[in-house]
Amino acid sequence: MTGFSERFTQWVTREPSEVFRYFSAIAIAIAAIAMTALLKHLGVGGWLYIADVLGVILGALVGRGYGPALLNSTLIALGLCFFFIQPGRVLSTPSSVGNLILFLLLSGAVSWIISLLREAVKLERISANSKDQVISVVSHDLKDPMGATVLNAQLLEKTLLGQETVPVSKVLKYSESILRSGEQMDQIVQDLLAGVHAGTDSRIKGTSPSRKVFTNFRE
Amino acid sequence: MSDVLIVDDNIDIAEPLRQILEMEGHQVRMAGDGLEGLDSVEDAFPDIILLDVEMPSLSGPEMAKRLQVLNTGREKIPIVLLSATRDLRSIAGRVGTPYYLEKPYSIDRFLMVFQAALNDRIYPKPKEKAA
Repeated sequence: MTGFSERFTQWVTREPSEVFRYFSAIAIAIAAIAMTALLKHLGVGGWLYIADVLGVILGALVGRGYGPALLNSTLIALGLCFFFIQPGRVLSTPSSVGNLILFLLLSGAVSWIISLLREAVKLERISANSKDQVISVVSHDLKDPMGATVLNAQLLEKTLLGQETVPVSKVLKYSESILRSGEQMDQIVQDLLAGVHAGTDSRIKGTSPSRKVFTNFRE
Repeated sequence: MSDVLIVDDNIDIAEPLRQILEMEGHQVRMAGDGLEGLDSVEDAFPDIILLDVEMPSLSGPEMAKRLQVLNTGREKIPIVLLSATRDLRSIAGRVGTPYYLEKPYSIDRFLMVFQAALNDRIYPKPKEKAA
């Protein structure tokens, strides 16, 4: 069921070409009018109107947009008036005007629902993309200094274990690099927290334990 | 002893790599981005390039692409991509190099990949030629 609803949403919200939209709306309107004529010929009177209403809804769904939907409704209303009343008197009787207004409202409503759905899907896609981008950037920005920390710490270890006398300058160089990378990671975490607690970042900034540790160590 | 070119804008990564490789007996040159990297290749072809992906001025993949375009022997230099980028595997696929390491990595892991690249010398075969 979920698969069907997902496929239906994708189908309704995809962006067809202008040519496809208008041609499909006209084709559906003609099909609905033909169906009306056939039903009238067969003498199945009760289904006549249903064929047209379905034609309007289908036209609005397939045409996906106010323009094709309105064109479709107008054509069906004209066809309906032609078969039920008299040619040339389409807008001259209350019932024919009523049909036209009803179909226009119906197709407008369907188009409006589709546009809302399309907007919702678009927002969801933007949100998913933004989330992906944030994860990608944060992941990169965290792993970069993390990589530097690992390398420098291992190098420090190797240097200290490998030589009897290690120049202090070398040890300081590695530790300084580790500290710098730690500060970078701390900054990213702070930025993330500030983002999560939007509006309260002033309380967070400068008070993190890790930041104090870095400052104290430096001093 | 090999001539190694490290192209990375993060000095905290490039510097320890230089130390490690010098300890292994290699000669190391460093560049801060792709443009500096190309200049450095111009000075003398290195035996191998250790290339970061995201850098200012010219990214790693762009630099690799330019090496291919020039088509004067530069394209025969093996490239090891080193990056914290999430989709490093696909980037390496586009660059056409089998050698890549995602940060963070240990010294042992780095040396393993580096040595493999140096021994096998499989040079990049990009999937998409530069436009």
